[in-house]
Amino acid sequence: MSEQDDEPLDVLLREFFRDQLDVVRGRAEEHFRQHMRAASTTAWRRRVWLVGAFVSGLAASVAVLCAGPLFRHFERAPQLVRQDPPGPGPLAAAATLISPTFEKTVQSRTTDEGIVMLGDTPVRVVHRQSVERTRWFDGQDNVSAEEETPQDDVTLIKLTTY
Amino acid sequence: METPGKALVERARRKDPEAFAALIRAYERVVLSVAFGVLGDPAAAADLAQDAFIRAWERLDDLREPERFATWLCGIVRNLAIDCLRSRRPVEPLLGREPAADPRWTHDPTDEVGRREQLAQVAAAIAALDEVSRPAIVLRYYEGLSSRQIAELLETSPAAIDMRLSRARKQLRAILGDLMREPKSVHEKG
Repeated sequence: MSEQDDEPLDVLLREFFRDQLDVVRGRAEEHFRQHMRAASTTAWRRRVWLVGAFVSGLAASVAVLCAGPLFRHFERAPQLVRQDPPGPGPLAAAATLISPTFEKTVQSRTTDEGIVMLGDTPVRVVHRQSVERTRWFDGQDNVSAEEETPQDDVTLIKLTTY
Repeated sequence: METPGKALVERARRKDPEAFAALIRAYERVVLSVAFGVLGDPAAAADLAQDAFIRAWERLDDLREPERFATWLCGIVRNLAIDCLRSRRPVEPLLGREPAADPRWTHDPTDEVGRREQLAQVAAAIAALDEVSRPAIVLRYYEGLSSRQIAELLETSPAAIDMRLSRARKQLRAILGDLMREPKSVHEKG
């Protein structure tokens, strides 16, 4: 079959494909440009969101940093008010110079020593021994001080006789 | 087919949208030809071409040889088209009818129905070709590519393309013989 014989077929096919496909040409480029615009918008929104999140986080951090000491002040203040200051002495004076963190413990023992006659009156003898220990410490300077106050009380309780 | 230079592909790989838009303009007919060759439907081919270019844009980093951009792009188109064929439900295509089987067929130049029938006959004849010959025929007659160029795009040999084109023409002549003997072509009507 010669080229001449194929000519009508060639013409028919060329016209057919032109008829079918020329009408849909140009869509791909337009679609690509739309895709790029959409991608750009999405990227811009994501960037705005990230910047917003970062700024919000930063603001929250700054707020916490600013408010932190205030909260710590409120946490410590009741301790200072509640605790009686130690008695006069060099340690008490020192305690006022260092960080106000301190602890106070009291250990005591009470014993019943029985009934004795005090003249004509029977009395019960109650013996109480205690040690009050106060410790100040400053974590920042790693300094601590300690004071112990022993106490020994004897209480006589008058007993009623019938 | 005028092939854009490697430089344009390299610019597109560096995410230059204008360079890629130029590539789209250069290769749209090729992509449409391959897609239409596989799918047999111009609207579906246009949709697939859009998707194929977007996929190519997103995967340009995978392109190892920029000078083989067209071949790489046609590979994307073929894969997408095959996926599309697998996923879509079978439809009665424009191309499904037996050529010259409809007694209402007419050559009246004013008869739009007759023109559509002619188009349907050509479409049906093309649809009857095998899946390699169809894209080759479209690339030859729509884009006007040589056998060597078609072979490069479809990743086969020029001899194989020549053979397939020859067989395809023979088959089309046999199916469309009556239509070709008609005095007017399908586009000479308003």
